[in-house]
Amino acid sequence: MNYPWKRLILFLIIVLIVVIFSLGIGSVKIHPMDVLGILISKLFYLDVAWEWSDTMEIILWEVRLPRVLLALFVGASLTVAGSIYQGLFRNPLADPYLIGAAAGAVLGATIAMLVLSLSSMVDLLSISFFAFTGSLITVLAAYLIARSSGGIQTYPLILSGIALGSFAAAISTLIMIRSDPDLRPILSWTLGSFAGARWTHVVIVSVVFCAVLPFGLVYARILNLFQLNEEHAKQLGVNVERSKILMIVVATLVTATAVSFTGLIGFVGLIAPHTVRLLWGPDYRVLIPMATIIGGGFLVLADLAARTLFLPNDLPVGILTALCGVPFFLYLIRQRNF
Amino acid sequence: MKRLLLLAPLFLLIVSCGEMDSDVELLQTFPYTVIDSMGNTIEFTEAPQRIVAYDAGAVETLFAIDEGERIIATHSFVTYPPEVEQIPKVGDAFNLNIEKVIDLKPDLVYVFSETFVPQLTNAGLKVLYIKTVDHNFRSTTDMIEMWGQITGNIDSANKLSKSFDEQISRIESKIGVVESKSQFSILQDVGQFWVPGADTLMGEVFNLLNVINIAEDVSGYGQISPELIISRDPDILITADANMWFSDIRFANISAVKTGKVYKLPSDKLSVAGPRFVDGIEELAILIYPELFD
Repeated sequence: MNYPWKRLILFLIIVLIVVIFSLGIGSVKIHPMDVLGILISKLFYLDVAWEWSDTMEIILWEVRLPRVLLALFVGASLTVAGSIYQGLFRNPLADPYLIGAAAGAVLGATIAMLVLSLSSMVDLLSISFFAFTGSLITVLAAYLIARSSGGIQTYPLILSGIALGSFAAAISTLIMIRSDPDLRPILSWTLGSFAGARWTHVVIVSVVFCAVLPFGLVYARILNLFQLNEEHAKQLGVNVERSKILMIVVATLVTATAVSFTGLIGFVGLIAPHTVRLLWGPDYRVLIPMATIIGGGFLVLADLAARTLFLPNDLPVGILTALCGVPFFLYLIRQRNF
Repeated sequence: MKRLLLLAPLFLLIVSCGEMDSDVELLQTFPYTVIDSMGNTIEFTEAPQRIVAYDAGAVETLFAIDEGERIIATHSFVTYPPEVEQIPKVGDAFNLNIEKVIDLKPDLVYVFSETFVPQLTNAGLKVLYIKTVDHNFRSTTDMIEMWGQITGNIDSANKLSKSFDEQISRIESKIGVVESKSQFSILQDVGQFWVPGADTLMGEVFNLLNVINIAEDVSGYGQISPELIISRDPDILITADANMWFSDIRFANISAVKTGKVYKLPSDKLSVAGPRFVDGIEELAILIYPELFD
């Protein structure tokens, strides 16, 4: 097969341009030359001929850049997770938000925050771990419930995912309301936001993403086989059960890590893979990398809108992804006979 | 009938021989009518004895004018004065347990939000609804005087409201010497960069204290980006977590952090629009202008 390298690289460059472009826009105006100068001096330790204020440097380097990069990696993470879930469950509607993974992660993180502070790296990692545990339990429960209702069909998984997700969200809210008032700001987690983005978050999310992406790429071939027939995959020597469990674990891990620092951001894992499917077909070897690039770029743009549309207010980006994602979701339901 | 009329002057005479002051005032008090925030007229022919005061400001006011024993229930977010610990709670600030309220057989239910008014009224209860969230802090004195009228304790209420106004004037006159060009800029972060704008009680307090709220363009409470906080560079920060501001390198260049003017409010007085609010204003004034309040 002719692998579309050119197209991938083209989109990678487009997303890079989107990232740089959105670094130049925000609640505070920074001149494009200053953006460039700060990036050059910070990344390559080079001196440039023009100068800017310390304030601009802090805003760009400590606030805006981590925020844009976090949006990029969270978008990519949710997309790679969504693509894997969709292939694995043979369910075109499997989005990390819709199958309950995200809400389970928030519940885990909420429980972690009852006992931990948010300061040290160890605490942040423990929160991710709790989020992962909560997420994994929710996804497995949704999967088992759907399976017991007779095969993995499209709607039982989504229905039980939504139901369990609502259940987890209800418990999270209950914990927050019954706890110390200081936990109440997390309520805004029900619609995720990148307002609190820090470099530490970027590091954790990007490391987990980079660890999970190769799994997605390696298992793309098996996901392709799953689309035809599981029996067929077995005959070709694939350990179906082991592959499935491994894929559930990695997709859930990348979802939970992304969600534990940003809150619930829905539909990204649905929009990007389906856009690729509609344009370039269902081959997972192309779909996963392509959708990941597009998902990252999409969330960077969605967050750009969230932080600039209603100045001086900073909107939760989850509002925007839901506004874009729900019509898309409804379109998918109408287009195909699932 | 004739006999009654004859007796009437005698009765008045006896009354006026007794505790003349208070009784004469009692005659002036009732009937007293209040227009509630829905435009309904609420009439009081006598002082209510069993009040469900579903509002922190009302509870503080009633205790401050020595009428706290009329309160039979409140909500669980009310923590002042210490006596409220003994008062039964009928829900929290957002959820009123209507069944419990009905069961308590109050002769007045006071609420600050419209949500529960129809249910309470349908249950045959006398409801007074005042939309205090629309108030500025100066309306606190109107509320104090209203409670004075309702409980028939006009004297205490007038004294309290007068001292509230006087204290504000005192603070204003001390701050009056601050020139506008040397005004400080300020920001309150209530957590996760949620900040009060100009049209909040805190916004009004900042205005009174002659400081510029850098989040003036926010409507109500809103979440703003750290970018804005850094670029608008407040001289003073009010926060519950001063440590966060001092240890976060993003904020190292903010004036408030550099000069150490990151303060935690010394009390919760500014969170309840009641008689203690003015003490809260004074506490904040002392933080901002320590040299003017020695």
